[in-house]
Amino acid sequence: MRHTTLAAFTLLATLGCGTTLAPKELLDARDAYDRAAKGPAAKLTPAQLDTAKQALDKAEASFKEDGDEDGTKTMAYVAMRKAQAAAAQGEIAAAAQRRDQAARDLQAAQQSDADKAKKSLAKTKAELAEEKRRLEAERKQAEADRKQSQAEIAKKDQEVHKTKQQLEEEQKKRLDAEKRLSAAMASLAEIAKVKEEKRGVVITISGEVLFASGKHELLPIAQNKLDDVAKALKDQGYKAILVEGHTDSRGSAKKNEELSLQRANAVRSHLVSRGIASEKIKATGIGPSRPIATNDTAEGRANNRRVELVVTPE
Amino acid sequence: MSIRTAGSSLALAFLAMACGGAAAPNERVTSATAAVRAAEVAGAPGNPEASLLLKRAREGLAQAKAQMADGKNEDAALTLQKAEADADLALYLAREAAAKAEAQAAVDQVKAFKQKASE
Repeated sequence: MRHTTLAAFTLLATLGCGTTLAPKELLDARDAYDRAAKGPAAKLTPAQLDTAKQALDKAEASFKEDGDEDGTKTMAYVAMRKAQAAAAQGEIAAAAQRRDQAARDLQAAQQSDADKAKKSLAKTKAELAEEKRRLEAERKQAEADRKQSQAEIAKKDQEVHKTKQQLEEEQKKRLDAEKRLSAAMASLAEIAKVKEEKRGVVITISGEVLFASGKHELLPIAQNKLDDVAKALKDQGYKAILVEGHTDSRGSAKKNEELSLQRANAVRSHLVSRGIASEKIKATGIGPSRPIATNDTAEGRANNRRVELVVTPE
Repeated sequence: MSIRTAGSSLALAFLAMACGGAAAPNERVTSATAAVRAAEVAGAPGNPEASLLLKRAREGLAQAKAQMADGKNEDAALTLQKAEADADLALYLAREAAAKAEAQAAVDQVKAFKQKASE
C-alpha cells in the first residue's frame, strides 16, 4: 500500500513537472513522416519532405512548449497530412519517372522497329533491284537467243534453199546423165552389146569387128566404133573402166592370153587417145578362160572372141 | 501613415482582441476553399480515399464557418488548417492515382508495342 501510494505520487509529480505524453495526432504525424522518408519522396521530392519535416518540427516544438493543447494537435494533424502529401508527391514523381522511362522505351522500341523496317525495306529494295537485273539479263539473253534463233533459221532456210537448189541441180544432172546414158546406151547398142552386171556396165564388142584374125591392131572401122564408144563413155561419166580381152579356145592358151592382153591394150590406148582418163582405165588379158558360148561351133567361137569394157559408173 | 492614424489602428486591434480574441481567419477560409476547389479539379471526387478527405475538408470548412459565426475564430482557424491539409492531401492522392494510371498505361503501351513488333 505504501508502495502504491508512492508510485501514484511519483506519476503525479512527473505529470506536474510537464512531461506530458505525446498526443495521438503527433504520434501519427511522426509515423507518417517516417513512412514518407522511407519512400521515393526522400530522393525525388526532398523539398516537399522537408516542408513536412518543418511542420512536424513545429508541432514537436509546440508540444514541448505547450503540451497537448489544441494548437499542438492541429499542428501535428497538419504535419501528418503534409507528410502524407509529401509521400504522395514522391509517388507521383516516381510514377512520372516510370511514365517517362516507358516513353523512352517506347521511343527506343519504335526506333528499333523503324530501323528494322528500314533495313527490311532496304533489303526488299535490293532484292527487287537484283530481281530486276536478273529479269533484264534474262530478257536480254532471250532477245539474243531469239536473234540467234532467227539467224539460225535464216541460215537453215538458206541452207535448205541451197540444198534444194543443189538437189535440183543434182536431179537435173542426174536426168541429164540418164539422158546421156540412154543416148550413149542407144549409141553403144548399135555397135556393141550392153548389159548391167554386178561388176558394172559391161560393153561387149565382138573381136571380129575390132581385129583381123590373130592380130591385135585395130581395124580402121573398129577405130570409128571405138571413137563412138569413147564419146558415149565421156558423156555418161565413169569412175573406172576395165578393158578385158577374151579369145576362143583354139591355139595355145598362153598365146591366146598374150593376144587378148595385146588387144585389150590396143583398145585401151585408143580410148585414152580419145580422151578417156588414162588413170581410170586399165587393160587385162583373160584369154579363153571365160567363154560366153561354146567353142565347138564357129558361131560360138566368134562370140567368145571379144573385148569387154567393164564400166563402173559415177 | 501619420502617428495619429497608426495609433488608431493599434487601438482598434487591441479593441478587437479585447472584445473576442483572435480576428476572423478569412484568409484561411479563402485558402482552404481554394484547396478544396483544386482537389475537386484534380479529380479527388473520383478517387475513394481522396473523396473521403475531400468530404472531410468540406465539412471542416463548414464547421469553421459555423465557428466563426459563433465568434470562435481561434477554433475556426485550427479547423481551417486541418481542412486545408485534408484538401491538399486529397489533391495529391488524386494526382498520385492519375500519375500511376498514366505510368501504367505507358508501360502497357510499351509491352503491347513490343509484343506486336515480335509477332
